[in-house]
Amino acid sequence: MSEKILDVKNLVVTFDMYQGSVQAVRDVSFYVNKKETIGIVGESGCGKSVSVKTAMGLNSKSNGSVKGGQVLFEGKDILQLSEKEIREILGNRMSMIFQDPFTFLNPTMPVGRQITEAYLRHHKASRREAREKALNILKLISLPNPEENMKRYPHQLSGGMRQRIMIAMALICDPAVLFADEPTTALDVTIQAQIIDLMNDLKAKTDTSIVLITHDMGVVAKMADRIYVMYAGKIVEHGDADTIFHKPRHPYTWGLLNSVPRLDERTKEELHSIPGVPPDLIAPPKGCPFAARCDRAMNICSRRMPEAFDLPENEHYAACWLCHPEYIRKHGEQLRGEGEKHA
Amino acid sequence: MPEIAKAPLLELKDVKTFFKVQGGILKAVNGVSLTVRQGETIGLVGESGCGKSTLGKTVLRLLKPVGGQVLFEGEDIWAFDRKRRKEYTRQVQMIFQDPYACLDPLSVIGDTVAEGMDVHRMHADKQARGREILRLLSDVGLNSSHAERFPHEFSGGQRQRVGIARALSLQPRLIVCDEPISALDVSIQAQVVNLLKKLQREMGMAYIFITHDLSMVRQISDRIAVMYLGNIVEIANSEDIYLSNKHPYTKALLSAIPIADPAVERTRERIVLSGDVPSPVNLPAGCAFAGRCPHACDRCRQETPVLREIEPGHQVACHLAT
Repeated sequence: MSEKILDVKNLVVTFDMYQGSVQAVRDVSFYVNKKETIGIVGESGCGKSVSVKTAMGLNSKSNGSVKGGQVLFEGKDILQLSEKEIREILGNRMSMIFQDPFTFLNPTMPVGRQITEAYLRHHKASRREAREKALNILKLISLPNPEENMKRYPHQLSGGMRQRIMIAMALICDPAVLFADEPTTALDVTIQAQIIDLMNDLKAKTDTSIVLITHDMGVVAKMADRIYVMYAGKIVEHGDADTIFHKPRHPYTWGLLNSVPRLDERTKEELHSIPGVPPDLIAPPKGCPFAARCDRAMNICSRRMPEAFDLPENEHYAACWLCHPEYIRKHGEQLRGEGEKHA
Repeated sequence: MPEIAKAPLLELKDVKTFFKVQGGILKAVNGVSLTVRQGETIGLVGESGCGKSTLGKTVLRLLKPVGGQVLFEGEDIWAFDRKRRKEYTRQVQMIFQDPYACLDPLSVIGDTVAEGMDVHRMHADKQARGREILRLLSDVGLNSSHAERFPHEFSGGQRQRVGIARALSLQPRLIVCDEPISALDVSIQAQVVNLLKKLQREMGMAYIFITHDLSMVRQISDRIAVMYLGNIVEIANSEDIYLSNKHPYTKALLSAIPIADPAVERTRERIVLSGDVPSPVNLPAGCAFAGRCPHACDRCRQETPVLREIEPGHQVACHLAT
């Protein structure tokens, strides 16, 4: 069994707003092993970014948003650390890449200096050593003409190159965990393919674990070893990539997979779509949050929130009453229907 | 319906739309010829900067081409008189990408939907206008209580439905949809695509569906045109683009899209293009794709390939395609 680098346990995060408090993350647990890539998938507003930002210590107990849970990282609970201690970890042991590299980079500074700055912040080193280090990283991520491009400003680089610069900044301190929040969403498909290859390649070359947040089932299929599916602030299903794609058990996962047309299959007349919209998290439903949109919903679904039921595959679980042992004994395993359609 | 039976609605003939920029002329659309037939959907796909949105704006008569002609039902849209011009603004509508930016935050949805009808004085009295608003909202899957609400009360998918209702209100013959689903979540994207298809079946308008998402465009398009640096490099029936594509750029584009199945992904062979799309200012001679093409030869670097038909209805701009 490989070691857990990051272990998030029973995280609860709420935000107080004028209309009430938004229960953005409701009892979420996930972990990452060394050299592993996990994917957290879900639609906007499902709490995936909030969970990850909290795991990085960006929402703290002191500002009142984190209501409970633990984030264990290198022997410490991130949620108990002071702001100063967290600053020592961020950009160093944990780093992040974002969706839009253009807003992330400083437009008034050559990109080379921005990369070395990240290194000098955490290491006692000369500018020269930092530059050497930066060049090595840029070679590792195969940026063309690294020496030349380090002198350029962000606006002089293409989208794909800017994304590489951001990855270089994130990697220069050899972080234990790299958080990637929709890293390819803003890129064109041919550039997306380059960046995905690059990140998969990094996994082989470095010890960094990757936490990938995305809504794109294709990207997650290419990158993740294990997948967490989130809906309305909860993890509704977890399993290794093959299990999630080939033996998903939660109707929301079925819906997600069915709404993506696959290039290797013939087109269907009507695309499968999930009717309705996700629930309002100011007053989340008492039962399963997906019940209102689920075509398999039973009486119990809207009354009681199902717990996560363990399933036979390795660490596979799903929070759905269809996976209750008693239900399975009576009706058998419920699997994703091919080409299931909604009226 | 056989294709020949459908009359052409819009014809682009060697259309060129250029912009003056620092350092030269940006050839955003560089000689595109395309026919849109009545009631059909053309998918226009390509990466950012390939000129697909500029082409859409040229069709809408928002940008004047420096060369070539845009014919609507056989008439040049730049030779219209005033009356015909106004009629054209009714017949051709647009749906935008960003459902947050395209609605007036200070107007209730009902007024936003009716704005076009008001401009064209389509309804004699208030009651008829009100009934029409409700009918449009119900057509796109919203209900009457939504008419009195403001845009901030709606989700992204609902806003996009409002944008669609607004376009439909003028009973257009053609709707240019510029990335209408890119800003939406996957499960909502499918809802909107299904809605657009349903409306087309009922009302028979044509769509130009501009997108960079090759997996969704297949669901809605009859034909697909692939653009690269201001030119159409391949155009064919939708399924042919996926199953018997000929242009190396189309092949690379399709192979770059990850398939939502880890087992398939592990064994799939991919063509990863090196480099970025070159700048459309001061394009090199020859084929614009030659610099990134794995099969480029000397001829490609010297002679610009033109679209030629290699099978009925399937055109490719590549010297090497057979």
